[in-house]
Amino acid sequence: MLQNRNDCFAAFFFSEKEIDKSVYKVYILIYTVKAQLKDGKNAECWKPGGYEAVREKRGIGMLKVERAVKQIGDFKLGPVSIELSGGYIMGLIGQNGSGKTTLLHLIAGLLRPKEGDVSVFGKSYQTSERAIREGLGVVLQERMFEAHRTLEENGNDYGKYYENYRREKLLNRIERFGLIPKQKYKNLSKGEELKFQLAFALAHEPKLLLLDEPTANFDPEFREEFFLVLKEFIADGAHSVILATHLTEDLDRIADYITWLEKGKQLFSTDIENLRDMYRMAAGEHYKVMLLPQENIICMEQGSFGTKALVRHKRRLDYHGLETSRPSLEELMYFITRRKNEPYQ
Amino acid sequence: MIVHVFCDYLNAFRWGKIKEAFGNFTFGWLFIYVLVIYPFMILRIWEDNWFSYYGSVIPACFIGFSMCVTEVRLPKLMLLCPLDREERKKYLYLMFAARLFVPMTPGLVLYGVGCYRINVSPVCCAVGIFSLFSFALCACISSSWQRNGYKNGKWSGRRPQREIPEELKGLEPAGLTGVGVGIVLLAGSVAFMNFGTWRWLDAVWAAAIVLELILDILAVRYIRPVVEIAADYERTCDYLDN
Repeated sequence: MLQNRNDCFAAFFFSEKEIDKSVYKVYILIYTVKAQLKDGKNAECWKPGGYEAVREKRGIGMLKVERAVKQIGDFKLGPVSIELSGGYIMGLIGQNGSGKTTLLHLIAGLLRPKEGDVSVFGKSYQTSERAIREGLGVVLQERMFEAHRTLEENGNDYGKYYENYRREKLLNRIERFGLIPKQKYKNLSKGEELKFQLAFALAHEPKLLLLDEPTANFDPEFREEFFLVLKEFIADGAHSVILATHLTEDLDRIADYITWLEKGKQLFSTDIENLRDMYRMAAGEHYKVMLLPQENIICMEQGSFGTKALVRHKRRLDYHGLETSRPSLEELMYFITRRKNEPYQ
Repeated sequence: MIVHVFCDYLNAFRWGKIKEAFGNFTFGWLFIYVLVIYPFMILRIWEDNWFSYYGSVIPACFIGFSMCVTEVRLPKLMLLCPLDREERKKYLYLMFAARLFVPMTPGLVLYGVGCYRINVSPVCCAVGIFSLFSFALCACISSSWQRNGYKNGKWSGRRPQREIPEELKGLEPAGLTGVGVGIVLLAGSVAFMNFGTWRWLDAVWAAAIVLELILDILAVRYIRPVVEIAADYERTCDYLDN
C-alpha cells in the first residue's frame, strides 16, 4: 500500500515484486526519515550542536542533580538525585532545616556540591556558568535588592546583566502584582518584596524558576494570581519551576513532581500522582486497622471516632471494609513525618 | 563592564550608605586624622598654600567615603546574575580600582598643580602622594573589617573567616606605619620647628616614603585573596547571610 509520497518515492526504484518485503520496509523507513529531515522536523538535530539546542528548546533534561552531597558545618545534605524536564512544577517539601534552601542554592550554583554533580539545561557550572545563570530566575527568602533604590531602579541595576531583560516587562509585572515602580525597596513588606523578586525573575525570561517558600508570605488573593502566573510560565512546555515550601496544599494544586527532604536526606523524588497512588488513607475501627499487614502501615493515629492510618498500598491488599482514600500531600507529610517504627523504604 | 562598574560605583554614594559608613569606627578615626592631624602636618610643610591643602584633604575624605561606602564584595543577587567567576573577579578588581583611583586622581592633579605653583622640593611632593596612599591603605583595612562583619566596633554575625586575619596582617602594618610616621613627623616638625632642620626632616620623610612603598607593595598582594573570596558565594555567605 503506497499511501504517501515517501512510499511512492521508494516504489519508484523498487517494486514489491522485485525485492523482498522486509528490505522494502527498511527502504521505506530510510526514505521516511530522510523526508522528515528535509521537511525540517528534526533537521536542527543534525546541525553541529543542534541536538543540545533542540533538547534545550524543548526543555528536555532541564535539571539533573546526581547524588549531590553538601556539608555545611554539622548539616549534611544528600545524596540527592532529582531530574526535571520542561513544562513541569516540582515541589520541594520537608520540615524546617531539612535542606530545601541548601538544595536550591546548589541548583542556583551558589553552593558547589562536595560530591555528585548538578547540571542545568544539560550544562555544568564549571564550564557554562554564565549560560546557566541567564536561564535561571531565583526568588529567595532574604532581602536581595538595594534598600534605598526604587523598584524600577533596582530592576534596571541588576537587569542590565541579563540579555533578555526588558524594562517594560518588569513594569508590567510590577503593576500586575499591585506594586508601585517608584516605591523604595526598603518600604516593601515581606510579601511585597517577594512579589518584586518574582517580577524581576520573570522580567528576564528565565527557563527555570527557583522559588524558596514564597507562598507563605502572599495574601490569599495574590496566591491565586501566583499560581496562575506559574501555570502560564510552564504552559509552553519549555519552562519549569522548582517550588520549595512546607505548605503542601499549594503543591497539591499545582505540582507535578514532589521531592521530599528530611534532615538532609532525600526520601523520594517522584511524580505526585504516582506518590499518591503508592499510599492510601485507611480510616475506621481500630481492630480493622490492626488487621492490615503491619509492614504496610506507615503510621496510624487513634482518635475518639476511630483510627486513621497511612498505608503503603498494594493492588490486592484487603482493607477489611475500612474507608480508603488517596492521601493529600498534607496527610502524607504529616504521617510520614510522624512515623516512628521504621525508616522509609 | 567598565561602564557598569562605574555606574554601580556612583550609585553607592547614597545617604543611607554614607550614614552606615559613619557608624564604622575606622571612618570616624580617619576623620580625626584628616581634619586635625593631617592639616596641621600639611600646612607646616606647605605653609599657607590652601590650594595644596584642599588638594590633599578633599581626596583623602573621598577615599574614606569611597572605601567605606563601597565594599569589596558582591551582593547576593549579583552572584546570581549571568556572570562567570572570571567576570565577577574582573568586576571586583575594577570596583577596587575605581574606589581607590577615582577619588585619588583629582587629589594627585591638585598636588601636582600645588607643587608646580610654589615650587616645592620633590620630597615634599612625594609626601602628598605618600599621605594619600596611607589613607587608601587605612581605608582598605576599614573596608576589610566591614566586609567581614566588623561594624560599630564589634563583630556582627558569625566569626570572621580564616583568611581575614592573614589579609589584615598585610594591610595593617602598611596603613598604620603610614599614619604613624605622619604623627611622628608631625611631632618632629613641631619640635624642630625653631631649629631650621628641614633638610634632616626631608631625609626622614624620604625614608618613610620608601618604607611605605615597600609595605604598599606587600599589601597589594592581599588584594587578590580578598577578590578571590568575594567572587565566591560559598566563602562569603557567612557574611552575606547575616
